[in-house]
Amino acid sequence: MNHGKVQVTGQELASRGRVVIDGVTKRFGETAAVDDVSLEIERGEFLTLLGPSGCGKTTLLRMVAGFEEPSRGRILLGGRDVTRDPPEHRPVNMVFQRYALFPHLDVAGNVAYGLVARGMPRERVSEQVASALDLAAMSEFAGRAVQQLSGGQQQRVALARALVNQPEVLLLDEPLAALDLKLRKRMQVELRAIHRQLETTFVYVTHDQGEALTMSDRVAVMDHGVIAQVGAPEEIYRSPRSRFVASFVGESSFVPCTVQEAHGDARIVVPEGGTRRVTARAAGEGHRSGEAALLVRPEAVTITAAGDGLLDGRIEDIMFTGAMTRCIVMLPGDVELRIDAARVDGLAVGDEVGVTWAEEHAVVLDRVAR
Amino acid sequence: MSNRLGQWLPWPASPLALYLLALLAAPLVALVITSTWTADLFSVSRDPTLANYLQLVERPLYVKLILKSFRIGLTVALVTVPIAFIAAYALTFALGRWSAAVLALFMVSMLSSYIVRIYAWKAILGPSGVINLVLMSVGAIDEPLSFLLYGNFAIVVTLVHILIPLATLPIYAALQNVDRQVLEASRDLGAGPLYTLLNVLIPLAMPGLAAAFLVCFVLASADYVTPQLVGGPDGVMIGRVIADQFGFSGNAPLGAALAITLLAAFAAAFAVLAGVGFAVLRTLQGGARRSAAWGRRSGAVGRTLRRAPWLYIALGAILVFLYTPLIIVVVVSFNTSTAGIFPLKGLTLDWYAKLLGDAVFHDAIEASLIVAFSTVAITLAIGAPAAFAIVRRRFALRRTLFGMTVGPLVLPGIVIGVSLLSGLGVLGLRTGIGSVIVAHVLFCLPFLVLVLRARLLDFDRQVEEAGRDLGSSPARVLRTVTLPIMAPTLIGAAILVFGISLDEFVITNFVIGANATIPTMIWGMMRIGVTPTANALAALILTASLLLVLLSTLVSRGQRSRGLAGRVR
Repeated sequence: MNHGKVQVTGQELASRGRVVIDGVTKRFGETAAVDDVSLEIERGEFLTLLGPSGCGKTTLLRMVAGFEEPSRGRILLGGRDVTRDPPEHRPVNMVFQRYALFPHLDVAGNVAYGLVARGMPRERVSEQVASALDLAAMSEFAGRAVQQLSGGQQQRVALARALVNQPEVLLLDEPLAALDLKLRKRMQVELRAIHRQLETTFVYVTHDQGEALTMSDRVAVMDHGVIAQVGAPEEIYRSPRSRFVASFVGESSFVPCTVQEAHGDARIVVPEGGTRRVTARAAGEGHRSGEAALLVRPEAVTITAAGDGLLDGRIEDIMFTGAMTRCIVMLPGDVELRIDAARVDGLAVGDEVGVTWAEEHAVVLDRVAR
Repeated sequence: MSNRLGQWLPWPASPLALYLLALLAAPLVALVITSTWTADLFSVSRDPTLANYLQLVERPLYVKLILKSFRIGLTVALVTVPIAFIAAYALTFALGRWSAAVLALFMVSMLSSYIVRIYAWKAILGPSGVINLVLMSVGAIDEPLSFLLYGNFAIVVTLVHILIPLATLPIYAALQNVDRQVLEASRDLGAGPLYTLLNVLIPLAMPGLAAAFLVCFVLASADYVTPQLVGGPDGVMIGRVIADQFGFSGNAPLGAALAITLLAAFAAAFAVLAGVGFAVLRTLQGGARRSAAWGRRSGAVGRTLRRAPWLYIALGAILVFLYTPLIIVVVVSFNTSTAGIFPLKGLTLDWYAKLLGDAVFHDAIEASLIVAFSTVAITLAIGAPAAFAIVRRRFALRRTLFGMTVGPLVLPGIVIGVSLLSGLGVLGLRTGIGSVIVAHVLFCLPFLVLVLRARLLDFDRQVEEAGRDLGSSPARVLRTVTLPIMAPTLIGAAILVFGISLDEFVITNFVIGANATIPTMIWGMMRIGVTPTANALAALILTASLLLVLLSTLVSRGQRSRGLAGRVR
């Protein structure tokens, strides 16, 4: 902690906590785990890298941490090029997937590790450790062996161990994956609270889209080593740019359709199996005519009497899920439409029904998944 | 009633307990008893007295010898353990899919006959050895460098060579439990590589490091073969003096007293070394913090140095060191020259033909095979049930039994040898093939139990519960689930035991009597010098150990690839 010796200019101060990923590629042998990715993460932002396993999100995070070296491209932290710096020289700290607590040290020893390694005087170390444990609500466990802790408690220690070093950027590699659902929900709320309290940039990796939407300022959806889309959670959910993003984030049904007219962002389409023209939003510049598919979110669909809706279909299944009831309606051409409704009184499996949806929620995407 | 007994010692573990009691504990008691006897030229008086111990106190020669032996043992351990650590580190973290193959190389080296390797170093370092001949032929020196052979240098080099694979295994086992993420966490928290090594990796590997150090220190300090063959007149160590008392000096009681004193001295040395070791580690840990800024210096040269594949270079050097002597022995075994070593005059199989026609060789092979097969059978019969009990049952004597089982690993071979000899003496029994088998089983049990225990500890017992759930009796589950899953480990352990038995010399030499196994035969030949037939025999032994390791690799590989489809068909 030699901050005193470092001359900090105004510009550097402004870019503290800012992450710039500039054209980064990482190859393992023939395959590119991360393929020419560029991304700027603002100071204090909570950004989530979201994607299925093997999409390159963890590799990208590990390059920011310094555990992997990019094959091409640069990584800047706080305006400084750290591409070739070893992990110990980067102003970032990581919460590891399996926590990676030091089994030979107790809770306080784990949290103190980074401060001691950087040569902080003993009195200040214990002060800082105490306040970090306090932040993570783990004060009473300071003298405990880490093996005696539950998964959730280990998670808190891992968090305190990283945050005590006051990193410019906190990296979190699926930190909640090993926790049960209830604990996970609680930790999501706590992590957000801690993020709000600090000025630290959080870069969070997860494959859980719900978690990504709940917690982040922005989400970067990754697929096969590239970023498919970056945006605020609501934008990702409401205006996915591709079928991959649409189907990975949130529940979705795809209704085949034909585009008849294009007006700016708006498209006039006819869903297959129906005759009525409906309006929908285009994901981008494309799909100005011809075959496409309509993304319809389950909560946007309403069930009507047969013949009253945009399309007709037959109820395949009805499942009570708690707040909502999920209906599966089979449309002509074996298209499955998922519907979430508050109530489904009087409906039964096998009923012929009509379906309709709020037009502003439908998005025109590719007909076939790529 | 039997239940209450089972709480102390369940029946599967009792043969092992009885065996250790009768053949480890009782002989040690016999050794103590023997040490209270006195011997003069022709007779042994069995009146208990402390005269031998008094003699040891009065004559500082013995104390000096023990201290000298410890100095050499310490040197060997201090050289071997870091080398073994580098090897184990590379095997665990750096080699990826090559790890299994390189580990097999270390196993081959470990099983490549102890006695042959000492022999090989004699052939390399000797006055007419490879190094001296090469240096003289290029004119670098005029006469043989005498410091190479017949001195402490040769003893240390040889023992380091012998102990590297043995020290690598426990460290490797300890590193298997180290999560790579923990090392990354240390770097992430701002610690450099050196700080991480001292504050995370070494503390986590400490059980393995301590075991490796213990084994190296004990085996090197108490070795009696190496000093005799490459140590020369100045190379006398305590082991050789003890061996001589039981041999031609004929003062077994004094030898027994020396052995007991040596054990006590080891206990004292461990206490001191453990204290010193931890103090040194603490100091280094502090030092690493003060120099945390080292790594920050960059620049082109520093970066190139940091990025050089040091680990692979070191591992390569270790393998070259382990294998060069063995390869030289094999090469010169085809040499037409009768001088034994170099220069290579031409290639011939004559020495092999001569060896194969030798009746002594036939007898030795027969004896070695009888011993090895019997050892495997008895060790498995006693050790396998006990390993299951030690891992799966909770009983009062569990820790005691496990401690006694691994005892022969940390007891100097010479002490086991002379205590067995004393035990036989007390009972008035003769030495021979039988006593060799007994000794080999004793020495092989810890290896078997350790290997099986390691596998059993991560055996998923839910598959056995699934077997019961699907309608099998416990016996059927054992036969159709447990044993098939354990089979590769059991076969691998059996091969290991076979190899160790074929190779064992240190204890065998005391209890073999008038017979000869292959290692004692080559010992007999070596005392004469480096001869072409000895080279051929050494080469044959090396080939046999290579084949054994190949066999065990194939067994484990075959088992892995034989999936469901292979079984259904």
